[in-house]
Amino acid sequence: MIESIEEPIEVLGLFRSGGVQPLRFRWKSRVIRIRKVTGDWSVNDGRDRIHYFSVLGDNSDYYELSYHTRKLTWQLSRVWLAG
Amino acid sequence: MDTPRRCILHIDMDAFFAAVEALMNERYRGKPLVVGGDLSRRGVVSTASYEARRYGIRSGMSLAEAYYRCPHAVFVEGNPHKYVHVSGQVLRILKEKTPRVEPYSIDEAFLELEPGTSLEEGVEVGAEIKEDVRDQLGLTCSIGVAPNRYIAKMASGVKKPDGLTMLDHESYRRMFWPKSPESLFGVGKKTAEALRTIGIETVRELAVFPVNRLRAAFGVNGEGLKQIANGIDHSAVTPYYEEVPQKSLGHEVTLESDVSDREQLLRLLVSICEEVGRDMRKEGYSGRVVVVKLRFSDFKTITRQRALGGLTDDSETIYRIAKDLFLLNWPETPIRLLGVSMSDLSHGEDDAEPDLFEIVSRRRNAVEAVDRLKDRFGEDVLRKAAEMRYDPT
Repeated sequence: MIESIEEPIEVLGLFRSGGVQPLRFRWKSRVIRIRKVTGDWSVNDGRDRIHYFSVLGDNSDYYELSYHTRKLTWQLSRVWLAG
Repeated sequence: MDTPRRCILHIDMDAFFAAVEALMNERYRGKPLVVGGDLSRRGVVSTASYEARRYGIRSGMSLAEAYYRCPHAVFVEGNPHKYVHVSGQVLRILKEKTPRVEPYSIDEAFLELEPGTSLEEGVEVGAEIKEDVRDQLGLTCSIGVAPNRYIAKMASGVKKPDGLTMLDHESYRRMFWPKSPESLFGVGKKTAEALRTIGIETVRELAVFPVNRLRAAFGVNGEGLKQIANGIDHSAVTPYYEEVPQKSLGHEVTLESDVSDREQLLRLLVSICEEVGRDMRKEGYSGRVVVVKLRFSDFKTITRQRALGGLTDDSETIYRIAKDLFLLNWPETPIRLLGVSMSDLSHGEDDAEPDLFEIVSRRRNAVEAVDRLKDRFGEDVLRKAAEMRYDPT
């Protein structure tokens, strides 16, 4: 079941060719390696732009991360964990 | 027959919302997947994966019924931003083949190839599109290739998912003439029933039926019915970059539970009228006709409208008329959907009525200032008090 989280996280990302690719993130003292970025989309909130990334962890856990371009902060938006 | 020779493709993404969700979360793949709302609230199925469709789950079905049919399905709340983004990626692929691309919906589009292109060449283009969509996006689509839009749309539905079907006029007749008129796109249960009452049971019978008798039974639509039965359609494929005149602008809200509280409904009406006015100002439209839509708990739906003396894009003016229409036509029974729209639109300031009163001008300045705040800080930065409490007027 997918769960809404909306918690701040720390992200290691690769900025390249005008975009960013999240590589790892730390959530609740766990470091999660991103095996694959499976999708990305953007949403406007007033003048602010928020980029979303759907990513898979090593054991196919699914996460949605969001990056707020004005605040320069990352959040863990939703998760679906195995088991 | 269509002259000069045209080649139209209709692209229909397969179970699009569900496919996008399964693309992004591999745990959804191969499972019955239902994209809709939250199961804990009233809602309907937006899209079901093909695995879920084996249980009889269909778009428009209540989530409760979908759950009853398949309790082990995965239920996912839809995220339109994801689907719009991927839809844009599909359109980019289509535009590589031809500039004449018309987005028909979030998951459908028409393409028109160069005049004189044969249908067989169209099939080759269709095959390339399918390959590109699969390779670049990991999604499948079904494509119809035909000499006009209508047959192309019918063709794309012949084999789904992951189909590619070519139909010319002769093969269209061969395939659809033996069938019930309900098999035609645009002919629903009620129209099919009405056709049966005048002795039409098949598409062939509709195709050869005297047009004057169809007009007598269905008005102007009668001729249209005969045309689609014959696979005749001269409509153009309008590329996305060509402006299509907007016919109406509106908002509607499906309520989480049926509501019969007057105050609550009027607060919602204020909010909807605010949004409609804001959208009109943002897009540069003003309108002459206010339309209110009510859907009751038995799904009966009514629309009532009133024309204004002039043009407006002002939310308060829209609300004043909408409230009047609502109170005149609401039988005080529970409502499940409330909507307001403006029609008979005009675009651009030149069409607006001259402002003769300074008070209107001052209010206009205030309204535009609020619009700028909302553009910058989001919709919730400022709300009318009437959206949050009972409107005593």
